[in-house]
Amino acid sequence: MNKFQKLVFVMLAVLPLTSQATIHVSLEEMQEIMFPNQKLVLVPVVLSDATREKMKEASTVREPFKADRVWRNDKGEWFVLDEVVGKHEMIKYAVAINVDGSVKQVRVMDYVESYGYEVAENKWLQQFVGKTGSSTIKLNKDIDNISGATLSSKHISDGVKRVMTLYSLVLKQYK
Amino acid sequence: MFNLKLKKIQTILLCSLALSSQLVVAGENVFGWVYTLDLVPKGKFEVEQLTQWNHKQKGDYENFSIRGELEYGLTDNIQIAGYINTDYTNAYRNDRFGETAGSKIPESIDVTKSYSKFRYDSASFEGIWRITNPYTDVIGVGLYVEPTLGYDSKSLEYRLILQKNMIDDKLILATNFVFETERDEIATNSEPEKASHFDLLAGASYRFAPNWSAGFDYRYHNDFSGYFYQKSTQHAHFIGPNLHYGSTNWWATIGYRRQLSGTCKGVGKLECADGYVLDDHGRDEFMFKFGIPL
Repeated sequence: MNKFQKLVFVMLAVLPLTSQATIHVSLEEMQEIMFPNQKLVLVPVVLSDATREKMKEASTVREPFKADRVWRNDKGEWFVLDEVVGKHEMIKYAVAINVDGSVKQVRVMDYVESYGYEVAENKWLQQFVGKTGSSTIKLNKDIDNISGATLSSKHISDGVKRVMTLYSLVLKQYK
Repeated sequence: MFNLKLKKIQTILLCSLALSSQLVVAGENVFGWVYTLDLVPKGKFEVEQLTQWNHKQKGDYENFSIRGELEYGLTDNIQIAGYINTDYTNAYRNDRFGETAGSKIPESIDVTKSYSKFRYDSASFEGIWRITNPYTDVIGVGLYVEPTLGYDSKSLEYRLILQKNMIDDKLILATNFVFETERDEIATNSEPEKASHFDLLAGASYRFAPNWSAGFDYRYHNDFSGYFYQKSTQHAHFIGPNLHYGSTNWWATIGYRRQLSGTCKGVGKLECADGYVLDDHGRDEFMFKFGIPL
């Protein structure tokens, strides 16, 4: 390959590679957004195999849950950080839970995909507010799908179901 | 002596890869050859470049089938696309008689000399209808149609696509039942060849790390004479691995499949040698795909 061929090849290959916006919010930023000016304390949670199995059955999520990412404020509200499989990379999201065990808020923290950024918009996430551990929380049932982001919509819905199952089985026992 | 013209092949390969970044954006595909139901979202475009390299027959044989594609999401479950297909063939004494002959090679050439040509081949239209979605339904089912119009060939391909996702959608199992009717005017130069094909494609791909998937492609290939599968002329088995990388701005897939065995019969019996099907197949076939969401 001569110099001219190399130059053409590099130009053709590199020119169209435009950057795409991604979503990244740090843990500290997200805690401040969901619980402004409140102190959150990390709560050590130990999950038995039986509990993990129940969470998997309820949510269908097979990706292991990391139990060292659960916080609580002095009012008894919870902040749970979790992640599920995205099209290319993991989708990290946070669930805030009210004292009564209902979803206070769901927010997406990391989203790095070609399509489907609507899953991080409040319009879609608002559907989860008020859901409890006994709610269905299933895509195309009580959660609407987003065209072009079916995988992300499904996995986030299943992930929220897993977190709310965790609350029902474990977190609500904490005093 | 035959000169493989490696520099020319190298240039074509590199240019096709480079052009892929200009021309192509398509539904991301983790397989080399098996089609899936991962469609471009409604209202979105993708560009994709596909290069299939068929390597080695009885003698020297290299064929590059290079396709540039633009895909568009017409609705949530219907995707359309247009292709421009080009072809490069470089052959020397590649058939069973030690002559330079076969598919993509005109009969008018001197069969004792090498043949090398890059040419425009055809244009294709593609339509996929996703009837059920593998992400939300028990199994994904889709129908695919692809008419192709070339200056020396015309064909109509249609597929039934089945896809099953498992393990948080990280494991993808897919099967295609491929039917094709073809009229080829270059094969004999004098009388058009009327043929029909049936392929069973199957594959598995597992996302073993963020952005990365790997698996295999299998093909059971069948050719028939006549438009309506009148007489079987050849069949062959191919299998090999695939590797896929996908990110926000682009994706790429490479696939390789080896022809395990091939059998020819009837009017197609001259297209086999040493237990392999030749005509437009290689013993080794490579696929390079590159896509960019627009």
